Amino acid sequence: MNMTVSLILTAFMAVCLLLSASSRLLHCIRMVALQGVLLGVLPCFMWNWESGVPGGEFWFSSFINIAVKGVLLPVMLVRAMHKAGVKRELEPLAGYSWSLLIITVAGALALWLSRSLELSGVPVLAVPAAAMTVFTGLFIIISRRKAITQALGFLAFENGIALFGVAMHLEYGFFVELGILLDVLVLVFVMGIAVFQISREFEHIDADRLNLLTDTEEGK
Amino acid sequence: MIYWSAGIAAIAGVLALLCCRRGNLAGAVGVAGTVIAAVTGLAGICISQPGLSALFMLPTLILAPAGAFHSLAYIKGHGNPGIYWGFFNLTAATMLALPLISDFVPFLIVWELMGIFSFVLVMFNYKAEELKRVAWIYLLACEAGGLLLMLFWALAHKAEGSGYLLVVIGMAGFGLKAGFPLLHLWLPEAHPAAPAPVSAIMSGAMINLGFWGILNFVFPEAVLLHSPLAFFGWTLLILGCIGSLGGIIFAFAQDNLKRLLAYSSIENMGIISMALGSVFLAAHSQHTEMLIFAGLGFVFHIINHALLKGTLFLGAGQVYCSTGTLSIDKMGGMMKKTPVTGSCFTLASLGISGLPPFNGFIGELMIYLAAFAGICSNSMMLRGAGILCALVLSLTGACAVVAFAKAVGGTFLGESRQISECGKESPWMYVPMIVLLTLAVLSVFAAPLIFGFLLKDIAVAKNAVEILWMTAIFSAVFYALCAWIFFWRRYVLVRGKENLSGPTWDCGYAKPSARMEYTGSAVVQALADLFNGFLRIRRKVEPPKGLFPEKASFEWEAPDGSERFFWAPLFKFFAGISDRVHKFQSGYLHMYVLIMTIALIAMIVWAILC
Repeated sequence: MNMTVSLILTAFMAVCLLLSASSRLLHCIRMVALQGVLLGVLPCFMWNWESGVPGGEFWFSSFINIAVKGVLLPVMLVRAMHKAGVKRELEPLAGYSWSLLIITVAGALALWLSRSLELSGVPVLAVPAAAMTVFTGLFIIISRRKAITQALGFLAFENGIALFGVAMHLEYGFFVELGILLDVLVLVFVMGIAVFQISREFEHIDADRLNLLTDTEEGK
Repeated sequence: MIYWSAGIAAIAGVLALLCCRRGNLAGAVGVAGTVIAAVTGLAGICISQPGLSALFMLPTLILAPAGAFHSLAYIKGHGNPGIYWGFFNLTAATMLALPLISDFVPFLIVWELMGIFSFVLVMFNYKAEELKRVAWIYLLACEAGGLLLMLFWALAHKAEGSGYLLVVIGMAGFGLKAGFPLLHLWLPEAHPAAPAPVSAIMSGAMINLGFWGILNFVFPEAVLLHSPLAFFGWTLLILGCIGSLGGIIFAFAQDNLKRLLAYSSIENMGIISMALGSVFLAAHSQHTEMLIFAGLGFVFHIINHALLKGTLFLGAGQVYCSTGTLSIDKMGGMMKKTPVTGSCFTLASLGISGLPPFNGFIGELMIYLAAFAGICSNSMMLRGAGILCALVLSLTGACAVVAFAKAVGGTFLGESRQISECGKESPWMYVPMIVLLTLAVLSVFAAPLIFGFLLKDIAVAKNAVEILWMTAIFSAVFYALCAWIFFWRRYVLVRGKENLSGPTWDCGYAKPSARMEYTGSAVVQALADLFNGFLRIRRKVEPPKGLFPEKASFEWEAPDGSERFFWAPLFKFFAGISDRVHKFQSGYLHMYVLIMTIALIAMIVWAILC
């Protein structure tokens, strides 16, 4: 059982590396969807089955994770992508090889972090995997131009936080997760609308060119 | 009962705001609100006798109706009377509520409300261009004070307390309202710009509340200090000395009448602060006689300042309404055009300069007596404090006479210099002044009765009450003498003689012109030169050249010293830093997230490493 948990967590970290190195949006969305599914599956492997069958809350949380993060949000993002007519993140602010390098360093940092936290009763790889996912999400928001990719980054970021919650068996983890999930849902809704509007108005969805809307002198 | 007073004013304020569209109705509601609030408040004070709270409510209770009646004429023809009346009453309500609140958090909320409501009043004539800067300064001062008080509250709830820092922050927060030196910046800006009745209330009643805050909230937090009484005593005494002397020196150098009055308010706050400081010092050395004198001086001066400064500001409002200017050098001869206002202003000036038969004198006399009691004691500390207090007070008094001689002489005496048209005075405006002045005169006689009653159980206070009786008798004789001389000169001497009238300031010239007469600036020039090291007057002189000079000009102004040499450089420094930081606001979302991420990682690493 422990082996499977480690495998899933390693898969999380691998997805992070893939996210940072891939330019195809569809591919990235699928990767994030995979993260969502893994997040839903993970608690089943961490549960101590000898102590009995878990309650409804457990199943509900898993189901919601798979349904929303694994299916609903990716589908919405794919639709937004088709609507805006973008397939690739062509000119990221940080190149793909650099991105890969930075995420690798972030992974190392995450491992070092988890060692200094000294948590007990948590799978060894859980904290580094979560931290690395959080870093990757933030990094994607920083380094990519397309609004869709940035929403994707935020989704990955949220997956990292949820992973923390799942791995650490937080007492009110269920409510916290539902709260965050709601945030993400709203964000992606707004994103979907905004992407459509932006691409209609400006004929592109490059978030870095939104600084033209700034109120400072330099932007004008 | 007493709480109703604030409530009624607040209700009237909201009602007046509601009938925004109907100016007359709003005015009626506003005036009625202040009057009923004043009556309820006075009755409440008589019934429940709230002690020190009453002292800080009284100025508002008296000035709010007076200001309201004055406003009826003052704001006629201005944009939106409903807004004015609404916020006038709301400001009065907050000012009445503040002395009744004993918890700090509600106090702070009402305090902030008072700042914002009065800000609207200061901004009332918002179309004037120069008002933007003034309103900005006033808002900044209010909010900075609020911020300091929040900091004070937060520090006061720390487990181990923070001693001196805490007290200094609290004093600065309340001092911003009370016009302590360096923190007085907003007074000479906001008072000239605000409508006159608002200036009267703000100057007479609102800034006192700073002392209420210090007494009620800062002082109880001082238990951790080495000897809190001595610390507070010396701090207030020295701040008061600087404030009173500095304030009055800047006052006589001003050309704007209301700016002069604003500086005089700083001076009077300084005197009140000196009295309070003497109270603390006397309490520290347990010198009862000095304590009673200084305490009486403190109480007296707050009431006197409210009554007299109220009269003066209302008078300045009448002058402004009649002439459209506040520049003393342009006016002159207003006594002929606005005789009642002129007389009230002159008498109030005499009072506020601390000249004998008026109530201003009694307040200062009490502080002098406290100082002398200190000098005669055998404690070195009290001797030093007494000498300092007496010296500064006498210097301040002398300068105040000069400042108000200039104000009265320049504005009301002689011939008009540059004012061609002058409106008539309105009874709405001068009746409140007469009422305030009558109260000021009556307070001379009421004082021994009231304090005789309040202090009847204290043996040491007998001396003080006796002195009050003596001054009252002396004043009565003086008033009788004045009245007799007036009638004698006016009716007896001129009986059966021909009545001639000629131009003022004839001076033996062949063709005298009003522009030949002394201006206010000329009157104080010698003294201003003497204090120029402190005042740093800006002069622009173009002397006449050649045998037949074509033109010559002379300008001078005394801008606020603390603004020029302390605040402006300070703000410039911070503006420089802000400009550099502003580069981070690039407009790139990526940049913002990057900065936040770096901060997040740095915090995590810091948390782990330390």
